[in-house]
Amino acid sequence: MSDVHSTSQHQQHAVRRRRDPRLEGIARNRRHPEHLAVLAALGQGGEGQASWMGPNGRMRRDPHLVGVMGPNGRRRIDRSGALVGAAGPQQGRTATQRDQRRDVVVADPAGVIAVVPDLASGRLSEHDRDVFGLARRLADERADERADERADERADDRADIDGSSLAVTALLLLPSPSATLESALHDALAEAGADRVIVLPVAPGYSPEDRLAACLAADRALSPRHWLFPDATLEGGDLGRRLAVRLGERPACGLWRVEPDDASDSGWSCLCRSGSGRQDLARPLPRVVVAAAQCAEPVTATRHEAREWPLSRTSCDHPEAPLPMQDLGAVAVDPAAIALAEAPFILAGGNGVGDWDGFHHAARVLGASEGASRVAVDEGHMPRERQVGATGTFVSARVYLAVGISGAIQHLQGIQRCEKVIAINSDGGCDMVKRADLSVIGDGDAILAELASLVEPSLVEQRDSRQQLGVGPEASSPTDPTESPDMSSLLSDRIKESRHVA
Amino acid sequence: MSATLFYGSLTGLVLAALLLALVGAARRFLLWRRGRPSPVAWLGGLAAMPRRYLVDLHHVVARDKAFAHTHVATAGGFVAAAGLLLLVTLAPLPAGGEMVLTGLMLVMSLVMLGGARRVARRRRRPPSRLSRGPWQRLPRSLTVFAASVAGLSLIMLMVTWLPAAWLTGVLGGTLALVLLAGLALGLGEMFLGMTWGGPMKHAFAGALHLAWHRRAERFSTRQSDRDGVSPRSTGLKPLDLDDPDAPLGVETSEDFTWNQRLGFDACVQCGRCEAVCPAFAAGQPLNPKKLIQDMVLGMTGGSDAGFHGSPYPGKPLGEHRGQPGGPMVVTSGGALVDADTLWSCTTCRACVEECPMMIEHVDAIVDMRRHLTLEHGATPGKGAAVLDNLIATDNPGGFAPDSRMHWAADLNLPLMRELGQVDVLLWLGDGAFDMRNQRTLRALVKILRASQVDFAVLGDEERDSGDVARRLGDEATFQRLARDNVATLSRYGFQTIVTCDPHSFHVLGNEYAAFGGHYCVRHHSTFLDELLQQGRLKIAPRPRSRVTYHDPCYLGRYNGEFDAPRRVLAALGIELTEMARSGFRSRCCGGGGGAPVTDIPGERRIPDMRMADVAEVEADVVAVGCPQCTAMLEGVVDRQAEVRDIAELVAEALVLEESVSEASSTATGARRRPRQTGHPGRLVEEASQ
Amino acid sequence: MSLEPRAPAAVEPASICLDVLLSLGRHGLTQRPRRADLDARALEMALTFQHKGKPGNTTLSCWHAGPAEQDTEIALRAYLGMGLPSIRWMHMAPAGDALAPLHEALRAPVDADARLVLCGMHAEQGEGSGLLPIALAERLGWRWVPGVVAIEAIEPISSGVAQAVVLQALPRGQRRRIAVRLPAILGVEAAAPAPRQSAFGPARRGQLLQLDSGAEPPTDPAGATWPFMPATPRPKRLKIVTSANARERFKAAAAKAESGSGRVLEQVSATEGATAILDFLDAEGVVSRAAVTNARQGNGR
Repeated sequence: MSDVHSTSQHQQHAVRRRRDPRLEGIARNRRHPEHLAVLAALGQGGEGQASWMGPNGRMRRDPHLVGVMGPNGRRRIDRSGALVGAAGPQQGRTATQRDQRRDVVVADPAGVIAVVPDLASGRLSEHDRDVFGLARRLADERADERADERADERADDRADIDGSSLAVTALLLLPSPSATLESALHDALAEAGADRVIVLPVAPGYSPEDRLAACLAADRALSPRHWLFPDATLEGGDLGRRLAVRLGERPACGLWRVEPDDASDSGWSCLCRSGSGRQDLARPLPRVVVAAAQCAEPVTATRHEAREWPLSRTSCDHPEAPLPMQDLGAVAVDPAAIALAEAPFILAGGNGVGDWDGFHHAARVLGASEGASRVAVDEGHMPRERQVGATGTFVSARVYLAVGISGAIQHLQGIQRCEKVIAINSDGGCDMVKRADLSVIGDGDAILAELASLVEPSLVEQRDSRQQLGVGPEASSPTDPTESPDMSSLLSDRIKESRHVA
Repeated sequence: MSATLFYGSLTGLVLAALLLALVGAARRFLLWRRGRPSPVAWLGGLAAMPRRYLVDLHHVVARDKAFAHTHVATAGGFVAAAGLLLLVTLAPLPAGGEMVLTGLMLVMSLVMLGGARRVARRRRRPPSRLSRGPWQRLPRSLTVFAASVAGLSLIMLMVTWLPAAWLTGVLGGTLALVLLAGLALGLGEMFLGMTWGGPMKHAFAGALHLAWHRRAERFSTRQSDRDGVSPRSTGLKPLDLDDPDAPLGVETSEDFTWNQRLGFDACVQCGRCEAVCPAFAAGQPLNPKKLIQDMVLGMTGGSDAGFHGSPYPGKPLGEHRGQPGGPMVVTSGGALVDADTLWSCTTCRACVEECPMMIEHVDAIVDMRRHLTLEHGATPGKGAAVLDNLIATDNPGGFAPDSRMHWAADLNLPLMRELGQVDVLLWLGDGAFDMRNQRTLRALVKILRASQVDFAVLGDEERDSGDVARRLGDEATFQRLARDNVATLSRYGFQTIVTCDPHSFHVLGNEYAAFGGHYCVRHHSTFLDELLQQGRLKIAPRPRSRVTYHDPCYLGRYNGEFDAPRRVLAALGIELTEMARSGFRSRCCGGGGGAPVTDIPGERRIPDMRMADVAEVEADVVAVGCPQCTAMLEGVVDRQAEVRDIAELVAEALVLEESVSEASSTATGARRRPRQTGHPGRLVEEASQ
Repeated sequence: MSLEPRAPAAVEPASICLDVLLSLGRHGLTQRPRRADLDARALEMALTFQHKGKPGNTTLSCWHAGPAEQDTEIALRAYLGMGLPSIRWMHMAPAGDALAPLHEALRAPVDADARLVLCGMHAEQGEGSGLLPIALAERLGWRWVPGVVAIEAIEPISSGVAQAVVLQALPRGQRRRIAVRLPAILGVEAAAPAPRQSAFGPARRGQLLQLDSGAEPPTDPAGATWPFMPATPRPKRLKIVTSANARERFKAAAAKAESGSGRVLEQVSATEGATAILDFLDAEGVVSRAAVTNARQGNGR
């Protein structure tokens, strides 16, 4: 890694030198006893330099010095940069990278494409960005064609496609007391591809009927060409379907691909995944779209205006009181008790766990659901329904942290669908370590205790700071927390609080 | 007491006891007959009964030599003495004949007395498997009866010579009275107790059970002796699913067939089943002896507080009671048997094998399981998921049926579909989906190829044999799988089915007959033994460290194959170190009967105990012949011994001779399509080098 | 699952009418007919509720609208095996729209204080978009609650009006409690309790009451024109690299998706190991980023 540092230094000092054929000869002869010393003197590598400025001003490389030692003791040259490129300086470079996105302004849109993001925990999720990406495609691609047809020759840096473009309009349904657009969210929407932003207040808590009423109000005011929703069970997916039914449209649900299609009225056709996930349905793109995650690439190359569009709900848009549905609030669920098959983060213990109290403590602190190997269950440390494996539960956690589990075949079968596996084991040669993405060889109890102590104080601080900001779990609306990295700690907080109450 | 009074009271006593016993017998018989009908050979059964008693039953009893002698003395003495007593007292006999018979009666009762004393000695500190309560009283009753009959015969012999006044005298009178009272007591236990529900019930019910057994085919006959076969009947009996009124399994005791009910009454509570039951040893809530006694309570009603043996582990006595016509198992408690008792059974048949009264515990357990699964949908643990998988994918793991051959993608196994007619059909079993068992299957394929066996597999056409479904009580799914498999097999021609899964072996060989499938099935150990004996398999014997062999239940006890695997191992140059429990007494691995699926908690795990057996003989390798056993034994933590299938051991010692390989490639090459260049191709290369 | 207890319902309405809409399911690998998983969970929820309440209080009726085919019968019998006495099976052409017959069936007034319809969130057959219950609720003017995992109580709130208290599944195993005015349609989520085993005996005994919906329901216009095809695997999204730098873009395009074996930390202290794990957890987003930085700072101190 030090090679990379010294290379850049060396480039600055590269100057033409007088040639010395003898030294050059030694420099070419790797078997010469003075080879390395000469190389160093010539500034051509040696002493670990992998590349230097050659006499003709071209970079020279010593292939014997690039790359890193592979696991089997052979030198590997990894052009993907996965190994070498992960080093420090590059991260620094990306951080200071200049923002190269074009600014796009749609001053006079021909129409509106409405996007209702889920705003899980008040932020745009990946899924939301994908849907905005889809909206941009719908707004721009055909518009580009129309613009091309008009043979507009302006080679302007600013994409000025006014009059032919549709405005991607974000419809934000925010809980009524403080329904204002925060600047962070505004920036995020601008980067996600929103030309316009409409903020409508809705009743706090779970109020699908009120949200539907807000959408209907927007529909009357804007009559968008398309309504786009992210297909999440409780939020966009439900709202989109409700809106479609109310508007008498047949929505495209589970949409995952859109293609231009002149035969269809909307100019687009789409592919929708059926409910069972086994079939695709090809159909013209309807007005209401409930789109799956990764339905389109999120916007990366442009930045949009996200200009706030004043629209208010009249009182008649509010449904008659009392609300037919009443949100009684979130129910505290102990993560340790979440059904294993559902759990996103599992801490599993096996034969190598000696301190089970410490194990439970760590699970609590990390906000992980507890799992166990068959042996741990047989020994009576954990109940049977917590057993992971072919003979227990098949789990599909995002992260599976296995402590003291050597990895019997049955167990490995049970964690096949886990995305990432971390192993803590005293035996570096066991099958679990082979399967794991990260393994720490050592005493499981000690590492768990350390892990718990690392996370624990910070959780407390975090909660304190959040309460000061007034965004404690009580204040946050119980919206979809899917993509929130804060969730686990937030959960632990809730549990702690509920325990305090109890 | 005058002689007339003496004789009169003696006759009266015997006659009364006999009559009362007959009344009791009739009542008991009618009680049994409340069960479902089951056709039996009434007279033929009675005629066969002595042979079944003296040969088959004694074969089991004689495993405990000392007690066998005791039982012969006691039971033989009793039968003879009681018969003579009836003759002497009730039949009109000439005086001389009567003297001879009385003398004989004296001898017999003394023999019985000797036996009774040995019974009493055993009862002084009885092992925990024996029931106490009335059973502790039995040796005393036997002694009293034998002594009274002996004394009375002595008196009857002596009256002829002694002056008549002797009997009327105080001493003689008292003695006669005491003896008569003793006889009354003895008759009460021996005659009345036999048919009214005392410990001696086992003799009466046991005798009739032998005569009218539900599996008459399990007893030896002269013919079977001549053929040198030991008959077995281990396949479960099918349910009639076409009749919508036929009960699906057993809900109340009356749903058992009448001779099953008779069998329950035959139980002598010797506890041999309890001593060998793996679930009981593991502290799971099952005790086969208690289960049979609970079945009796199901017939007669009453609380199980009257049971004097070991309870189900973890379930105190007195909390359950039976009621004629009432449910045997209620999922929400309060009935006779808890469901987890039934689901603890591994169907290893150790209890049936040990039972001197030939009671069929496993049949009763599966009958009740059938009711739970088919009527209540109450298969515990992962049972429901396994059954759903079997219904939807034909394998218990829920794998895609067309991925059954993925393990053999590189082996180019010949498919039945393409060949149509072969010598050997290799039945893979569901082990084809299990990574561990795939090693065994590969070894077996290597051996078959090396010995030029003309074989093929069904490939994706194979389904689960239905073993697990049937033991879990899902007879409907079993029958569907069986019919489908039989239909598939009927399309092809083959001489033998070879499988390395004893469960498939048992089901294909013994349980498919009811669905029209009659096959010659061989376990791979048997088949390898045959190959070795025919000299078709070249192996280089090499001595190994200490090896022991674990008999799979479904190979050994179910199908009587104990020797072939041992011969194969011997041919490999292995000198077996036998475990204490091996052969027909082999301890189950815990993997049968769906037990790993239902997973009833106990204090220990059955495979752990089995590996402890292995450790006891300090073996480094335990040879097995069953994928279930392999999985269970390999799942033991910190095991000292390696678990190897016989096929793997043979494959290791295999000698691939050049001529053999050449021959095999040409012999099989004719059948092969040209694109196949897997294993045989490699052999050709080796040969040409 | 352990949940915060809720104050028990004051009173239960005298009579509750539960309707369950059942559809044909198919196994994912073999396509064999079976219970649709979500509908089976809905039925399980109804059966559990019926069992929990006062006996005779709750009447349960199950509906299916579909063509008279053998596969349908197999699937419906599987539902019967859960212990149902009967299922009402409204015959319909294969291309028919189930909305009309179901609307017709549910529209008929029943003599009950509370009325609740349960069904799975979406069907396993056809489009399976989950639109039907919403459309049905819209037509009937009833409430629609998606993502339900449990019915906690049904209680009267005023004369003739009852409400149901239900639990809704939020992602990651979290739950939300909701009170909804009845009548309502509940969409049951995959996180609801698993359905009980279907038993052979009740499945054989149960009755399929075949109803002929008088007028042929309108056929689904979309089904004929929009083709169904086997699902094509969706391409895995590549990491989008926005860099203008060619090397960066090349690296992103040429990089292997996942390296074969993971990182192994040997001979590290417990603290180093724990920190590495925490970094990993942070990168995966299962433990808060803030928590990790704080921890690092704490560590630095």
